[in-house]
Amino acid sequence: MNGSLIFSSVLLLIFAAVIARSLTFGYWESTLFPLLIGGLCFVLLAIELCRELLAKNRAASEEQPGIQTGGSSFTNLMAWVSAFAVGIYLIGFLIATVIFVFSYLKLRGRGWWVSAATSVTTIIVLYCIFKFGLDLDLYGGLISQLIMGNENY
Amino acid sequence: MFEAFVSAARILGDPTAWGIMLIGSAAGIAIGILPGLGAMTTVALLLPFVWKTPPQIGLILLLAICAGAMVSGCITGILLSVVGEESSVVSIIDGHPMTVRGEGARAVGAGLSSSLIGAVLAVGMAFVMIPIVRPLVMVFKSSELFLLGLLGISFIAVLIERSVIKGVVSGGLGILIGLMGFHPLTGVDRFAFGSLFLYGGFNLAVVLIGLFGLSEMFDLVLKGQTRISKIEIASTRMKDVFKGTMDCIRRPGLLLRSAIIGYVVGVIPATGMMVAQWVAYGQARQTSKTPEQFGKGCVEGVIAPECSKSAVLAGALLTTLALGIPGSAIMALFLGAFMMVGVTPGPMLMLQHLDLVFLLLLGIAASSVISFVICYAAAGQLCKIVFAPTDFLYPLILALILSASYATTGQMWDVVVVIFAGMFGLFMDRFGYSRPALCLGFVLGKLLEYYFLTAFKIGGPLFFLTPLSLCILAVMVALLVYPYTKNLRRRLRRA
Repeated sequence: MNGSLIFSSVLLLIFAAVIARSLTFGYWESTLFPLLIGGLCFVLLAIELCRELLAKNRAASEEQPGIQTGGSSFTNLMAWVSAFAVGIYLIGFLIATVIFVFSYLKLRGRGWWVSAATSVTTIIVLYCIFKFGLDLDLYGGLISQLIMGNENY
Repeated sequence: MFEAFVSAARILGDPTAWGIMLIGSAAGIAIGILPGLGAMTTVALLLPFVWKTPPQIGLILLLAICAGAMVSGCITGILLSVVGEESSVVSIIDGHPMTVRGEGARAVGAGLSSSLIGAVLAVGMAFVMIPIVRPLVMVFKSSELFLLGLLGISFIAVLIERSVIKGVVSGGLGILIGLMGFHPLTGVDRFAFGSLFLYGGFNLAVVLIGLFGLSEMFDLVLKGQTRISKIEIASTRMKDVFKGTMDCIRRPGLLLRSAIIGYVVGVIPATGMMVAQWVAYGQARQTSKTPEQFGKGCVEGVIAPECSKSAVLAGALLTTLALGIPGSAIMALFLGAFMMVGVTPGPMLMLQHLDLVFLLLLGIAASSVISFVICYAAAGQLCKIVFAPTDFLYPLILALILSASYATTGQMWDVVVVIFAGMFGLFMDRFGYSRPALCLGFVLGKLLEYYFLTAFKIGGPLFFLTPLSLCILAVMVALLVYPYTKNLRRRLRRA
C-alpha cells in the first residue's frame, strides 16, 4: 500500500475520531463547529481515498510515491532528530547542541577542527541571541535540574 | 485634519524619531531574519520597553521593529524556505524555487522593493480612506467575516494544489488543530485530553516553524542535496538584486492591485496577512501572461504577496485605531501597547488624537524605507547563505529552530511539537496536501468558530442568506467547482 494511501487513511481515522469526540462535549456551542468541519472533511477525504484507490487499481504498474531518499534514509533522519531532542531534555540545549553538531558533521566526513569549531560557534551564537539579545533562558536539562536545582541556563 | 498631519510630520521630522526608527528597524531586521523568529515574537518580547518610553516614541519603536521584521522575514523565506510566522509564507512558493534556480538575489530584490512600495502606497490609501473607513468596516457582520475566512482557505485549496479536495481537507484539519484547547464560551476541554499543555492549544509560531522550516530541512537532507541552490554559480551581486527591483518597477499595475488588496483585507478585522497575500497571489496568477510559471519560480509570485503583506499593516492599524478591533494578530499586540501607554483606540481617538494616527501611519512608511535601505544594502551578502553546504546549515538551523520553539513558551513540549510538525509537513508536501491551507485554517480556526456561532445565534442555520454573504458564498463555490468544470470542458472538447 503506498504512502499517500496510508497517510490519507490516517487522516480519515483522525476525522472519524474528531466526530466521535465532538459528540461527547456536552454543549452544542462546543460541538457544532468541530462536528461540521470534521464531518465535511471526513466525507471529502473518503471520496478522495476512493478515487485514489480506483486510480491505483487502474495504474497498478506505475511507481507509487513515497518518501524518496537520495541522501539519508528517513529512519536515519528521525533517529538523529529524536536523539537530539532527548539530549536536549536530559542535558540541556547548549551541551546537546555541541554534541549533536559535532557528531553530525564528523559522521558526514568533516574534519575534527571544522566540526569542533562549528559546534562551539553554534552554541556561542545561540547563547548570544537568546541570553543577551532576547534575555530568554534556554532549558538546562533534567540532569542540571537534579544536580543544581535550576532548569535553565 | 491638515493641522494634525503637520503636527505628526513635525514630530517625525525630529532626528530623535529617526534614530528611534533606525534602532527599531535594525532590531526588527536582526531578529526577523532569523529562521523561526518573526515580527509577532519580536514585538511581543519588546512590549515591556514601551512602558518606559513616551507614548509616541514607544509606538513608533514598535512599528519600526514590526516593519523591519516583516521586510527581513522574506529574505530567509525566499533563500532558505524557513519562516517564523504567517507573514512570509506565500512568498516562499515562488521565491524559493527562484533561489534553487540561482536567482535568489533577484527574488530578494523583488521582495524588498515590492514590500516598500506596498507600505508606502497603503499609507497613502490610509490617509485618503480615514474619513470613510468606519462605515465600510461596519458593513461586515459575523456571517460575512466567517465566509470571508472560508473563502481565503478555498483560494489556497484551489490555487496551489492539484487536488482541490486535499487542499480543502488540509484547511479543515488546520481549523480543527486551531480549535484544540478549552472552548472560550463553555470551558470544555476539546481535543486536549486533559493535558495542561494542550489546554491552551498549540503555539502558532512553533507550528509554522515546524510545518514550513523544519520540513524543508528534512526534505533537503532526505534528498541528499549538498546546497540549497543547485546552480553552482548562483547570483549574489547587487546587480542581480537590482534586477528584482526593476521587475517591480516594470509592473505598476500588479503593485497597485496588490497594495489595494492588502489594504482592503487589512481594514477588515481579523482576516490577517495570510488572506491578503493569497488573494494577491491569486490575482497575480490570473492576470499574468505566464500563469503556468506560478509555483515554479515566477517573480510575480513574489512581488504580489510581499506588496500586499506590507499594505495590510496600514489597513489593520487603521481598523485597530478607529474601532479598537485588532485587524490582525500583530495588531492585537499593538492594542495592548496602546492601552499600556494610555491611548484608547476607538472613534474618539480619530476625533481627538488624529495627529497620533497620522504619526503612526507616517511611521510605518518611514520605517519601511529605513528597513528597505538596510536590507537592500546587505542583500547581496545575505544571498551568499545559499552557498553554505547543507551539512552545516542543517544542524545549525535545527538547533536554532528547536531553541526558538522552546523560547516561545518555555516548555519542552514545544520542541516535541515542532519536530512532529516538521515530519507532518514533510508527509503533507510529499502526498499532495496543502501546508499553507492547514496554516491558514490554524490561524483562523478559533476566530471562524466565534463568527460562525455568533452568526448562527443571530440568524439561525440560514445565517448566510444575506446579500453580501451570498455573494461571498457564490465566489467560493465558483472557485471550488471551477477546476472540475475546466476538466469537464477539456474532456468534452476532446470528445
